[in-house]
Amino acid sequence: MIVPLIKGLKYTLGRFFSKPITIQYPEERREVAPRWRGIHYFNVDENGMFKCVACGLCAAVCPSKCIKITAGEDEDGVRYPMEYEINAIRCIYCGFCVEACPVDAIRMGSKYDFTDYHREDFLLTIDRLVTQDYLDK
Amino acid sequence: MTVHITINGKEIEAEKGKTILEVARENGIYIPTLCYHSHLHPIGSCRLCVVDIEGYPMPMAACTTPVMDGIKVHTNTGRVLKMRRQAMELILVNHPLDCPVCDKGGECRLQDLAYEFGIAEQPFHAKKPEREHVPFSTPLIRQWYDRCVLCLRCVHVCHELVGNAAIDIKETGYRSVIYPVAPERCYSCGECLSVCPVGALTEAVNPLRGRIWQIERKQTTCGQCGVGCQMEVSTYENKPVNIKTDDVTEEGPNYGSLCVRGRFFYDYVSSEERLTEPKIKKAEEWVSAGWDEAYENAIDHLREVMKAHGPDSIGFIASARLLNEDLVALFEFAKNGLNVPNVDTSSRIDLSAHGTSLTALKGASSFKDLDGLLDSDLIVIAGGDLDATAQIVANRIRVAQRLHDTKVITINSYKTRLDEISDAILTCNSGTEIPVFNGLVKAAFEGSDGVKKVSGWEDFSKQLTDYSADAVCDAAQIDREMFETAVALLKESASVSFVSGGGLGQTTEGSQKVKAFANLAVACAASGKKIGWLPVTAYANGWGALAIQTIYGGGLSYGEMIQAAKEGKIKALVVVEEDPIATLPDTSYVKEALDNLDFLMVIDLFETETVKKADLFIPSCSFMEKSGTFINMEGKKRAVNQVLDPMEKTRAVGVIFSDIAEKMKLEVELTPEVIQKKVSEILDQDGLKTEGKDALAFFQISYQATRMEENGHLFLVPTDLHYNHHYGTDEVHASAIEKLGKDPEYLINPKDAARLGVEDGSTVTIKTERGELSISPTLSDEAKEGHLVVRSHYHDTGILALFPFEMDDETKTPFTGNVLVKLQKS
Repeated sequence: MIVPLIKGLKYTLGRFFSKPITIQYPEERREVAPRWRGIHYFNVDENGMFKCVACGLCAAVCPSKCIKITAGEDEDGVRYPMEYEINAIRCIYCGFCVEACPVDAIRMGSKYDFTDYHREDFLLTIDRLVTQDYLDK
Repeated sequence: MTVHITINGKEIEAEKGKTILEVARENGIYIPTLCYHSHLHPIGSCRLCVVDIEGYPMPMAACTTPVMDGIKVHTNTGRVLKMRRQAMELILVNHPLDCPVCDKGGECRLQDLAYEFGIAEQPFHAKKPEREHVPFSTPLIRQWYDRCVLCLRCVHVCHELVGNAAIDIKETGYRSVIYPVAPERCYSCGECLSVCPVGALTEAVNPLRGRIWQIERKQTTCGQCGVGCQMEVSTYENKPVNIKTDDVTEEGPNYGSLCVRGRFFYDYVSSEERLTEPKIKKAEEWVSAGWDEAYENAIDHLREVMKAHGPDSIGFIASARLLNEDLVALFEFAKNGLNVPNVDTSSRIDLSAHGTSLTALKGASSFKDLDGLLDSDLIVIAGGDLDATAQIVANRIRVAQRLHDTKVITINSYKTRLDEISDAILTCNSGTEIPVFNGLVKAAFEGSDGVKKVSGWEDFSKQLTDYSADAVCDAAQIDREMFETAVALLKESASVSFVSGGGLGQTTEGSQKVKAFANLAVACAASGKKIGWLPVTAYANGWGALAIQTIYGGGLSYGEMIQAAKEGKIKALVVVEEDPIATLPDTSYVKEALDNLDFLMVIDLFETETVKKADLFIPSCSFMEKSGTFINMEGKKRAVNQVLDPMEKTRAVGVIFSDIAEKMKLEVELTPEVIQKKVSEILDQDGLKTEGKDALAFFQISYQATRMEENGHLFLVPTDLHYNHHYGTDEVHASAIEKLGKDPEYLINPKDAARLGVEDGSTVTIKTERGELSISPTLSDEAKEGHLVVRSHYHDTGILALFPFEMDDETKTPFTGNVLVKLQKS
């Protein structure tokens, strides 16, 4: 009867004097795994341009239907997204869009927490996906 | 004749002459194809449809091999499966993997086949041939050389269905490429684009793109001309993205074909130039108003005018592009609600002359659908360039000629593209169509017994004495041999179709011209021939509008209202989706008439010239934004389905008038159900059906020859312009027009040019009584000697300003034509 109790107390006392497991969030943040599926961002090429060609596959594969993409074509026949929007509240962070993307334009970052005051602030447009202004929020 | 064959062990009775592929498809047996298209001759370029036939050493292409009695076909032997896979792999050698950026992605036949065959990679590699980039035959289509699989569908459709041969294959073997060999012949109809199974041809009109999983696609009837083509509009976020016909290829009247307007001009409905708010003019300035305010304004003004001058001083002019439902609401509102007698539609310009002629043809065993053209032995085309007004009809005539060796007679005052396939080209002087028709009746039917039994023949035959072949050929300046050929063709053909372009009814003596043409049809019918009568209408609902205006009847006509406005008898005018300034001759006269009004209310989509003169403007919506019916040129009811929500605050015309009626507390009920009932009542008892028991009758024709005066005068002949006048209101806002960017052409015969000392491209002034215009004519054989032919394409040329304001005595159609112009070198 007493032996298990001592065993438990021993463990508790051991923890009491060792390095803490918890961290001081939000001042401190934990490193995530390399394959972590955080908030999306747009990958850019060497010229700083995003790579999206508006094929529409991300929108097609998205199970929560949170991606809105309006495709356009310029005078030279180059396809580009006239409008691109991810609704970060609706998104379930499954990563299918990243897998579907044929040109490695969309990726998922390491940021896992995203807070703001208005619902509109969770709409990630092309500009925001490129500049990643949500990183410090 | 039937033959018996077995496919995969299944015994099948098949019609002789069909191919193995057709028989297999009819019996639900799948054979993969890429180049096969049901409306084209088998091409046999892809080799995917190979099948094994017992007793034959090598597999055969199912699409090109006709069935033979007793053959045993196997579609899935190991050998053919292997051959198909290899053929597919070879097709893919040069095809780039750019599906993500390709417009066709998701709807691509090659994608589907690669998926079906499970081809993820293939063992062949080849160096990409280097090709110099040449612009495609039309700026509305972009060509991607590397995506092309050389199935040749585009080339075949351009040769077979359109008859243009603007594109063809260039070079051979590995270097083969689809090349615009005759870009000047291209109509930009986009048939090549629609049959391309891959993304080698893509649309370059509207920058907006939509994948199949993003868009909605819905069938409707095209509202841009009277043919009533069935098409599917793809929409994304309430904007049209493209027009497809893939799923309506078996539906008439167009069977999947469209013209440049139907396929490429769709984006005017979402144009930023659309007016979406009611506006009231206060002290010469437009002020935006709410709907209630606009309605109040309209009601106040109409009541005021009615009180001061009576209901006779109000007029309503509506476009024949409106739905039957819109028109009935308008007529009910004006005629039964306000008791205004003067309500008319623009079908007055387009079809009135034909409306009367139809009654005479009721007794004939006639047809008037486009399919009938294929059953005819002879097609007589008069008055207008069908390729410009209704390309689908012209295409059908070419198909009839190609497949059934149908003979063609063209009667026109300038050369048209259909002259190329015509057996008797009767290019007559402007205004001499009546002598030509009369001459043909006299030469071909005077001796026959049939015509003598028809009422009116005695009087008519007396008129014919002046029209001997010699006299006619001399007066109309037509080739005697051609005339004789035409007479012989009329005599020997068992079934004859008469296709009448807008050019007959819309010119001087229009009603008489149409009657003379109808007499030719009556003579044919009386001689025991099967006849078809097809008046080509420019307005989408020409027949519907004509039926409705005939049934409600009475009051002043379109042109008379303008005249009355000029004379001060009409004080208030309500113009609905019509632009009299751009439509009627003598622009300055019309403008003065509109200035004379106390109150002008215009309902339209865009700021037209007429809108600029309005006191009150109310925005309406296009045919894509409402549901209802059109009666097309065949006299058939065609369903118009709403594919878009009305843009911003716009409302359909029918809704606007029922709203106003409700506000005015008029004693008319204009709920959708009541309107629907009224529409079906009217269309059931319309006078447009050709079936009937009425006896045949000849018309009496009055004709006055216009004589060519002194040297230096030419007949002014506007072509596409006055048949397609409503280009001027809506379609000019389509982005495709800007890309096509064709300037108006003024064609003059080289002989005239030499006589008058006009050089190609030099600037000259043309003068009539009504005004003058500075032009730079092109020397061309397409213009007959003594004529100045105007091809306006899509731009306002100001040519209508040169015509005097005149109307036909009988049909009250304001006409253009038979005007002599004087050329002056500037």
